Amino acid sequence: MCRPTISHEDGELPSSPTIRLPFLNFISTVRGDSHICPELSWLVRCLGLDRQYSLDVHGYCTHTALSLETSRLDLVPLPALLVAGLALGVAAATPVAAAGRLRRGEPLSRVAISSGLMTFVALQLAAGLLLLDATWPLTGYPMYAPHIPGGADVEVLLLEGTTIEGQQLAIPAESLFADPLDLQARVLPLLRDPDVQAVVAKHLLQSLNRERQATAVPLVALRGSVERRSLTAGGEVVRAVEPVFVYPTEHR
Amino acid sequence: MTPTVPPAGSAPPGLLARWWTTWDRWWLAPLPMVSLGLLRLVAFATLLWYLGSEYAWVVRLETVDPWFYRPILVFHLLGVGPIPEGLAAALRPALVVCAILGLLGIFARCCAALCGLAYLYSIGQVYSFTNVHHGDGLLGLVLLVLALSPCGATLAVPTPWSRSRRADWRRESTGAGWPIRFVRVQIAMVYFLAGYAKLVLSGPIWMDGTSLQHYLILRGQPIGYWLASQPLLCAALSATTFLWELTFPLVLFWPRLRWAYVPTAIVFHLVSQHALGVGFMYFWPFLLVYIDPGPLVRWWQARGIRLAPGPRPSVS
Repeated sequence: MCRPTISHEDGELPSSPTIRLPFLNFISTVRGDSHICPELSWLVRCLGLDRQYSLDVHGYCTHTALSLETSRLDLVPLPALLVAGLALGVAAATPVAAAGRLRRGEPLSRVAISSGLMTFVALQLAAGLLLLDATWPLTGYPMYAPHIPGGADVEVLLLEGTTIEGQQLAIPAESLFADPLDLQARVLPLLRDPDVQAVVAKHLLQSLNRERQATAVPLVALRGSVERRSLTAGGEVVRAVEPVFVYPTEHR
Repeated sequence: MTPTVPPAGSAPPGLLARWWTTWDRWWLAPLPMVSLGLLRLVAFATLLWYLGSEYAWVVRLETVDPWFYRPILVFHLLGVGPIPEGLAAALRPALVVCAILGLLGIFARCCAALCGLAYLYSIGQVYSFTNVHHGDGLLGLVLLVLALSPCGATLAVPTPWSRSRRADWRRESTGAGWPIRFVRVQIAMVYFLAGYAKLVLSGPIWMDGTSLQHYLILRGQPIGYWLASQPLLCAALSATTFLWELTFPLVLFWPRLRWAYVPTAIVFHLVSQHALGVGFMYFWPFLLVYIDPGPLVRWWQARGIRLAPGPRPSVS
């Protein structure tokens, strides 16, 4: 379980915000920096089971970032937790049962297929009930599930670049990734953090320039703003734009 | 779809043994081989569609700064790093060739295995640079399932070396039963778990339509803006979606319900694609697996019997 290291010219990202959640049970009982190996603590974090650790805000961006708010253990109701636990138990017990079936003379192909299906269904059910995304391709499906009250603002990241010739260009939201919201989900929270804003903007500019390399003149500056969209009572969409960052700052 | 597979061996009549017998009877009940052939055609056609429409985004990952790379769990565990330069471009022609061969039923199992692994690797790379999405996993899983089943035995182009392995497309086989049911069950679980997530994270208030309005405005599609300005319509669509998702697994137990649920699913995905810009394009083609080819096979057999010449009168 070795985490691949990625060289960051500007050093590692700063530590993530710590979210302390009220009651702690089995994880905290085995916890304590001396009691739990780093690999296990990392696994607990990325599965969103964490109640005491600093949540890794910058890892495992999921389409519905539930892990930023709370632990799965607080989120999922007890009956569903029990069913998920049962499913995990079934998945773990299936190979043992398969060995028994083979000893009783059942054909290997049948035992392999039916045991494989049992394990798959159990793991899929457990991942789904625990709303996990980190376990892709067996995931939960929490997309668009959180309730958003009426009148809440919508935020959309807008990027604008300046070429070496001084020309201002609007950068399409799908410049780097197919889904325009992917880039926003990954970088907007960081671009708002003054401590890492410059680092993130620099990497963003580098990526945009590499992507434009073959076709266009490079960008020398990047400006980001957020468009707030809201729906009026009359059904009209109102937009307001507020600046978020300029990189490098001398282009401000 | 009557279960006809008896349990093998002399299993003791314990509760566990009875459970496994019931489980096997449901999963391993035979289906016409044509179903498996159709599943293979749908899977490889969908893969070709993906290669033509979205694989370019995998190639473009090479231009993205590795700083953005945050590997998904399975890549973490396997120690997989960002996609090496040139690999995505090199994989593309190999994948296209394998997908075409698979579509034709030539070396179909090998092609399914190679395409499944390469596809899951590609999507895993995309998710490691972006976010985990939910509509792409099924195609990879189906390709791996096809690799484990006799998917090239029917609806395939005949080749000199595979003639002896060809199966009658009308014949029922256990080998066709479990892959088809796997896809049906997986699709039913996806919808049910999506409804479950709404129930857990929001509760019935999700049906008030405000969440849908929010996401429509976020996505910013022209038709989405219009839809967001219709609160009653949004509430109706939300309620329908919520109830439809939670009850979708009923089609596994009452197959007649598929005539209502499956077309609704296709309409749901097409509307989502246009109004929300959320395309489950590599997921919804597999809804065709819910179509039972049994009546077609029976009609064909009856036609064959009608056309068959009767016994010739003796001339002597």
